[in-house]
Amino acid sequence: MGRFILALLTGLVGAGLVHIAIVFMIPRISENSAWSRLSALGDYFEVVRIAPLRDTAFTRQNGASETPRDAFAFADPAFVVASCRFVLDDGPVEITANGTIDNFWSASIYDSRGGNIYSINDRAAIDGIVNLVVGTAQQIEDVRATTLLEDSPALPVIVDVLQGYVTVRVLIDEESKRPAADSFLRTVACFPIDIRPTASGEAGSEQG
Amino acid sequence: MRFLLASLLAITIALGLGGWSAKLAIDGGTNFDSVALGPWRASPLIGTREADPYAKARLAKLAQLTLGGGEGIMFQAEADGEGRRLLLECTYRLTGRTPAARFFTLSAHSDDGRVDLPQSGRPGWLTSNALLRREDNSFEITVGPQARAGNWLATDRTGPYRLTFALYDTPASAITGAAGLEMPAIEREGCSDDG
Repeated sequence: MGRFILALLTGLVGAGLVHIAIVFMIPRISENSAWSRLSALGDYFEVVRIAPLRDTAFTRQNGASETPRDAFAFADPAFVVASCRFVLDDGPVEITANGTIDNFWSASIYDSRGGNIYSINDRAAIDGIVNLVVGTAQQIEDVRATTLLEDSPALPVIVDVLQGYVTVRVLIDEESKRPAADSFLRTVACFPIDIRPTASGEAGSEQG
Repeated sequence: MRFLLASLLAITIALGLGGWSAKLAIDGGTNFDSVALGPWRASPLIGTREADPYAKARLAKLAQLTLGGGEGIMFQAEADGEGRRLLLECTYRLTGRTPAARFFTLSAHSDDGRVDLPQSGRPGWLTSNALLRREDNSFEITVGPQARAGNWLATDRTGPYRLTFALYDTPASAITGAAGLEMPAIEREGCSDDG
């Protein structure tokens, strides 16, 4: 009997540990996390489109048997969204779009676990232009030492992770605005910038 | 032999109970830091690094791209003002005001995050930019299967759902800002019987 109760208690304590372990493990191992899904959609620096997860009737109509990989839960149907994953190993990354658009747009930067690190909307951006330079503190400092940011609407963003993803959302008030928003999002680019001095010199002071 | 049985029992309880309770807590969404405004709930911390571990796990399972503080905040309602679950076959009237925001959108989602888009030609989402308002800036939105004049969000089929009310470019995104704000009331007008 005593042994039975001991087993029961051990089991309960174990259950608590398993519970905690699962809750903390899921963000790392989930194959359905935003990061995993974006990884399946495209490589680093590849701009992909994200669709709202549709209702079952819609998917049935289109003959799709399983959830499309580009569909994300609780997405706002009033938006079109582009995204790209980045890695900062080879320098900071620049995210741009050509021109401006009248509609509301916003952009977010997330770490690979889905945590939102930074967000901005069209009013906060300089001249309403999508142009972010994302890097570690050291990389942004290096960029500032060059002339890249001079006379440029680029906003430097310091992050404390080495990989993550960016989303750019554009509002479509009405269906008629979808084509304009679509073509605007097609101009979104995401690329690493090379800030290393071309010569073997160490500092940017050589440029003077 | 006895020892083996006891160990087996302990392991079974640990894995079974631990796994089951974790799944329940994650799927059920124990949002410790959510803010309620009438029937509406928002989690200002969701998708941030300060979110609780359950919210983080849930996010990783759902693949949801949460709105950042500079983008906006998402409120959801699962029930009307009287606490009855929202049903796709019922008609609801939303009246009142919203917290200050540049604009808002209203849409319908299933509990697992699928957006409810009705057949083409019927409005599957509303944005406040196209909203008809009264003189005092308040508004009335009808949500339901039957076509209405004025502000109308169409629903399809039957079953439970949730209304998603997203405010964009709003000071309400700030964690302390979500309390003491006004959100529209949800009133059930009736349900169609032909379902």
